[in-house]
Amino acid sequence: MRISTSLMQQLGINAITEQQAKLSETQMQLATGKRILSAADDPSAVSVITGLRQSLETTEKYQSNADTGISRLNVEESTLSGTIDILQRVRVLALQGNNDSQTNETRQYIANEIRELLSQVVGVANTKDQNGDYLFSGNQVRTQPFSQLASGTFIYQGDEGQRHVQIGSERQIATSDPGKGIFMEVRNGNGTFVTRANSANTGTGTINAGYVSGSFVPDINGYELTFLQPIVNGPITYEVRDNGGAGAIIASGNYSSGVNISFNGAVVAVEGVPANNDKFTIKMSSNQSVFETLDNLAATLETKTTSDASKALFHNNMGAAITDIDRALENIESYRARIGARLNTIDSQKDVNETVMLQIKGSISSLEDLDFAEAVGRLNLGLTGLQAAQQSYTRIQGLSLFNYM
Amino acid sequence: MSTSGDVYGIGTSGLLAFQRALSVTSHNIANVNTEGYSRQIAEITTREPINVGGRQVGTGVNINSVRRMFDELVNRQVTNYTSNSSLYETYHTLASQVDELLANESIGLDGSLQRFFDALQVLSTDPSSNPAREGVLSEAQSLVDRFHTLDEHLNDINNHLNNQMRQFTSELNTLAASFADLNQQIVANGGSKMDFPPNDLMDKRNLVLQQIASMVSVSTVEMDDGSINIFVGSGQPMVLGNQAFTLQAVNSTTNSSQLELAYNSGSTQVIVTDLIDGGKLGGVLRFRDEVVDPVIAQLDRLAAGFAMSFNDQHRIGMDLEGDINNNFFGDLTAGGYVLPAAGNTGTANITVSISDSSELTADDYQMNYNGLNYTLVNRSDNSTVATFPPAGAFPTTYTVAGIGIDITINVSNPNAGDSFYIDPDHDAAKNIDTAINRLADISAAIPIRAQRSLANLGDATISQGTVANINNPNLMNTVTITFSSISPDLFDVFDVTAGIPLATNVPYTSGSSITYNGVTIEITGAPQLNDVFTIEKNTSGFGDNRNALFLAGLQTTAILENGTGTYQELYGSLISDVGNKTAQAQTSKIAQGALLENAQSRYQSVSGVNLDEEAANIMKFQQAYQAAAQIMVTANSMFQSLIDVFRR
Repeated sequence: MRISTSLMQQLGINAITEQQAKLSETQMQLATGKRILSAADDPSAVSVITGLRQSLETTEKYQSNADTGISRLNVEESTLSGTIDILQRVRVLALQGNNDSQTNETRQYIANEIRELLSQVVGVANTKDQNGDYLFSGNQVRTQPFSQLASGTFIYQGDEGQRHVQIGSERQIATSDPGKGIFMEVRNGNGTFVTRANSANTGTGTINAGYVSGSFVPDINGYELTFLQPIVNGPITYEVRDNGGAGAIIASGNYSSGVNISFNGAVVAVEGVPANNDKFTIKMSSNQSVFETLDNLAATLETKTTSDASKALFHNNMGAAITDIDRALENIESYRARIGARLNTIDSQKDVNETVMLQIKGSISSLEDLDFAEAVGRLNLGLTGLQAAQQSYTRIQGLSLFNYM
Repeated sequence: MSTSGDVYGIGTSGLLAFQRALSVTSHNIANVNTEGYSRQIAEITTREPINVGGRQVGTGVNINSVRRMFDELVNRQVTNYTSNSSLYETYHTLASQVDELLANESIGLDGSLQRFFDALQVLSTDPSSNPAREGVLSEAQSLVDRFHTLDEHLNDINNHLNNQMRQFTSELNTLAASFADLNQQIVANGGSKMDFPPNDLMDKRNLVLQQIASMVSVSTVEMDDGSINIFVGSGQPMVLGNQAFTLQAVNSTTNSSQLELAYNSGSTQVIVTDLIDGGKLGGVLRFRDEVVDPVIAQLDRLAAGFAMSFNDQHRIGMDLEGDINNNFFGDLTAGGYVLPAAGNTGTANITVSISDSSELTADDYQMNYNGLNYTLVNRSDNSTVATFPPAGAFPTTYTVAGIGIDITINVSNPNAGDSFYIDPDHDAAKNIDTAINRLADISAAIPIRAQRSLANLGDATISQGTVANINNPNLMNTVTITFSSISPDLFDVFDVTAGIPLATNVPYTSGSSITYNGVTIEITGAPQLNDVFTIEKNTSGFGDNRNALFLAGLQTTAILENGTGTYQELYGSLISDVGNKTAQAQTSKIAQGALLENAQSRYQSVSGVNLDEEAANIMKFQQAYQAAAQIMVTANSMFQSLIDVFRR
């Protein structure tokens, strides 16, 4: 085929510029370490990489949320731990105080310590975090959760809000618990029903907390256990009425100290010598705050016992208080356990997130990172190619028939 | 004296012919680097023989014509490939700019969206924290700034394209004028069929044609008189003989930021934007049509959809001051763009607003009145979306299903043929803005909360509540749910704030939803007689992060495009689309470039000057000239001999 002079030159120059362009691209790739220099180099890869980077950043945020959650839960956990320690000390004191070797004066000293411990518990329950937000107020973090009215009643002024954080794309976890559940909603008695001795009792009967056998039949007004001894020094009998004592007799029998009395799923036992018309109530368990329990305990210890009857009342009330303390301890323990479980869940999720992030980084790298060995080889080839194009151009351009004329 | 048959004459003819041939060769050599030059060849033929005694005798040599070496077919290929190659080069250069713009870390939207939602995640872990709120507001501002920047850049590109259109049409008109002028000169000099055609003029004219082809695709027809007619578009003549017609860039009737191409024929002007293709002008038009317009439309849709869906969630939340039903971003839903066509004769008035962010599309629409009904047409594929009657009470609002907009006919007095251009999310990317600038105004909480009474003897719990209808006027009234009966479990609902009962003896099912006053809660578990549950305004709930969690969660919710795309996915597919078009343009550019190079090689092999060849020709004609000169010397000595004979 016939070639014109200008075409020959053009082809030669084109060859050189082409080599230069390829070389320049290889150089840019080597300098940045990336295979993809602009979106048009590989649009589908760029699209995938963009999506992967978003997932990576979002997952990193989840990890940071998880860390925030862990530190909040740790604070909560150590606070509850401290509370448990206090309550265990209270229980020891209560057992001590219940001992007949104590005098009114020594019981007063114990009561003083218990009041001191009560205010510590209130202080712990009103803990603030490092931002000045109350830990146990639910969502009302600027409102102090617990305070005592002039009448002596302890109230909760927070709400039931529970904060969750996002630790995974489909995973939220609670990082707080409202103080209401921890400190206020403790069921008294044995958790199902609560036994109390009537303060007007004149005998020396003391009732235990009782337990549930089968299925307890709740009565909104409670049951009343009455002891009867119509004949002085005669046999003592008992009868149990429902509907707060106004209902029918659902159980009755001869009284024997320490022997179980069963009715409607409840099993209770009385010890000692109850007097005629001494009454005991068995009601559905209700909410009794930890503070009220400690307050009751201190008040009981402060009451001076004079007669045998007052001693019996004292022991009844101490028994009730110790039972209620056990319920409080159980309740707080259960929240600790829940926190433990949540911390485990967060740890697992963090591991999953970590694995996912590693995978994503690997995918991104495989898509966008340069294969250095291949690129360096390409660079050498390009250099050779450019040299060859340049040299051949100069030599061919020199050839002309006019040189020989 | 000398007849054509004698030696002198023959010698002279040789001298003249070879002299001429040498000058043609010199012309070729001199023009070796001239653009558009086709090498010329002197055609040497024998002269007419004379009849001497019934026998033919040669009379020497003649230059019959000087032809230029030119192949029309190859030239046509070069012309076409020039248009194509130029088209894709222009398209690719422009598309790469947009490609880099969108994917750029500091201008593109993706990083900004990510950081905004990162700030919301931080807010969700500490909703009352001032630094966290500060972070959200500042990232929100960055985000709207990014939208604005992108919109400005795209506007700049539109302006640049407008300038290019003006510049290219002006160049084209100048080239067409000079082509027409050359046509005239060529015809005056005898046209192409003559023996000595005006070769250089024709080369010049062909060069102008190539320049025209690089601007726009053309087709040519050669006339008998030697002039060439040029046609563009769907057959509009650009040059007819010595007459040139003009193209002009004029304002658009539908888009104030773009120009259209108009064709001037005498006193009439016709819009030909959709008909022009090829060359730089075609590249600019195609780029605008395939890249710029869709990008602007998608970006506007993203801005409008994002602002609206985010606001929808923000409004059901409560801020630190107890306020509800507030937007986070400025409202972009009302006041969509409606442009009545310039030729409307009726007095109808239409407004449009966005009603559903998920259904909103990137398309724009045309509302036409045909004398009977209004018809709403999708401009991207001319499909009919809906029809509305003109009669009725006005204003009437129609919700158009499937595309997420409401059309309100305020006044209806149209005439047949009236039409309205509708763009519901017009300029959304330019107008998106934050509507709040106080930290306390971010609604991270939910307006209501619920709790159970401490006196409850049952174990049932109540959920914290969700908002079913933020516009319910009694949303934040205190409401109590009291169990008035157990087995069967029945409850009463009482609105304490309004002092009225809402429901009595409602049967209870553990876990099922209960909705009153626009609030939905669930009670789960076993209640006891007289148990009370309270739903109330979330006063002082500064630590409530429920709405912050929802807002942060919008990032990974497929909320737009009928529930199939997240914000980032939509932006990602926009980048991907442009990236693909750029990559395709590059491939086409390379392919067309290769085709053009091939065609040019063939052209050169026919028309190009080869210096070695011309050098050989010089030697050839030089020798021949010397030989012819020798004939003269011989003829002269022959004559001298004759004279010498007669002198004796």
